[in-house]
Amino acid sequence: MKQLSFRHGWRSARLTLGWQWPATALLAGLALLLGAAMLEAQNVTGESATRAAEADLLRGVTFGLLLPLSCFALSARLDTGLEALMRAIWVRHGAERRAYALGRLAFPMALTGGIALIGGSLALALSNAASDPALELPIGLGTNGVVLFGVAVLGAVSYMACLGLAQMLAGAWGRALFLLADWLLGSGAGAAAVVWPRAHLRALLGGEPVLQLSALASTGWLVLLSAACLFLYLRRVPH
Amino acid sequence: MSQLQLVRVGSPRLKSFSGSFGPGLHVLLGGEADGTAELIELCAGVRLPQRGSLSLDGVSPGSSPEARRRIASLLADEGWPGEGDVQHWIGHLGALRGFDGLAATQRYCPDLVLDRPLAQLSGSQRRELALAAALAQPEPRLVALHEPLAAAAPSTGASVVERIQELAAHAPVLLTTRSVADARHFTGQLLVLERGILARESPDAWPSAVTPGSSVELSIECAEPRRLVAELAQSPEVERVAFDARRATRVQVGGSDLERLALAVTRAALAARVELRQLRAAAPDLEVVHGASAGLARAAYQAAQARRGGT
Repeated sequence: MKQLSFRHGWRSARLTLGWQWPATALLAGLALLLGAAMLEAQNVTGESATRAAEADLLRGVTFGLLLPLSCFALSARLDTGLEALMRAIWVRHGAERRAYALGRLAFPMALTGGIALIGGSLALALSNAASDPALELPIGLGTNGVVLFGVAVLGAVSYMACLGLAQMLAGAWGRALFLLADWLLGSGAGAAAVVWPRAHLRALLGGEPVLQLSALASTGWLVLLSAACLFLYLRRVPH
Repeated sequence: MSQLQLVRVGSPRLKSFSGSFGPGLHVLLGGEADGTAELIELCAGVRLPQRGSLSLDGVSPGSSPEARRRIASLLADEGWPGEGDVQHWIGHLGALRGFDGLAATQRYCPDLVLDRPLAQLSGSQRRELALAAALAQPEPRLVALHEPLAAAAPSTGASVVERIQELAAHAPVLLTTRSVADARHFTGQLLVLERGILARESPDAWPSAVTPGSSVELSIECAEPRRLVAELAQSPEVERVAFDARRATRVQVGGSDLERLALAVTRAALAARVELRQLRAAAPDLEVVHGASAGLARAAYQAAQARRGGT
């Protein structure tokens, strides 16, 4: 029954979001990325500049702007609050509400993960294309693809879980406050940045590590953060 | 035998509602503003009480999927999945609730077109389908229906009443309606809900109106008022008939129930072959309302005194 309830939640999220809106968001995101790449390309002259352009596109545009904003927008459109879950049609007819809520959250996680992956791949490709071929930099989709996939999944899961919990605790204001705090506090590398996904995603993509933590520790933090948010979110949902 | 227990249940409209409902039919008379729709939502498990507790055999429907699977309900506002056709919906419903509801649903919704997309159904068709699905549930532990006769197709009214009575033999059936005429179709316990408070209980006698003491009046305008008045005088629903002194084509009729009175006027107009130009409810005089409310307050006070004396 839990599996069936999860599937109903997934399908309900897919129906609520439709295909038009996420597709438009993806296209807008990619257009933003393309625009940023064109700006960066003007300054690419050497290896360090290429590396900086790659970091800007990947950490700044894709995982710093595109991922949080698409997660925020999808979460707002989906309404993952208690009221919507209480009145859900299949839950009323006997679906397990927590499994349903998880399914409803899993769909935007997959969607935003996909958006981040596409955006990230494009960022790598664009920075590669913008660099001087004579430099022969080892920026290949083959070597960075696996890392990119993992970071995209972790980022999407952590952002959607945190936004879900923020919505459950304080509604639309909670979501907005979370996004703001993530931007402000997650930009640092001190103790205040430990609980924000932005800081760990940046560290995983080669940026400044949080509290000098290793990549593995940052991954652990992100997993822990996502699990804690999901646990607290689901705990507030009655069966 | 199932038992529905509500202890000091509070919601935006319900005010400390308490009651225990065993197998049988319990009709709650009142409008949505009185909290009838919220009561059904609480029973169906789509709303949690703000205060107090609601339990079906010791389990809260709002937090138990097993309990919800055994509750047949019809809400005031039926939500729908956005995809699929009628057959697809009934199939998913059956998978969740554990029964094949197609044949039974068709019994109470004879005009059902199985391959019709759900998105194309009108609001009343959705409610009709939801009622049919609720009545198709083989052995529910609780039946909670909001305005079932308003949702039913005219041709299935009798079979719906029959099925509700049948279900009431084994489980508590909570039925809410604002129509006294609809409530009269059922035999069972009658409760009146007024502004979220269980105002009074009439286990034996059915009231002639939602607010006893305050009669209703209709103003009719027609081409031949004399013929209509002659016909109206024979109707038992009409308690008073008078010509309007200010306008010769206008007739004032009074009775205890608005729906029954309007129906009587329509029947009389058909029988007398008189064309009705206007039919509207006339607002009662302020003195009449004051008198009625004072009477109600006096009756409530006396009832409270009698209860205190009894205990």
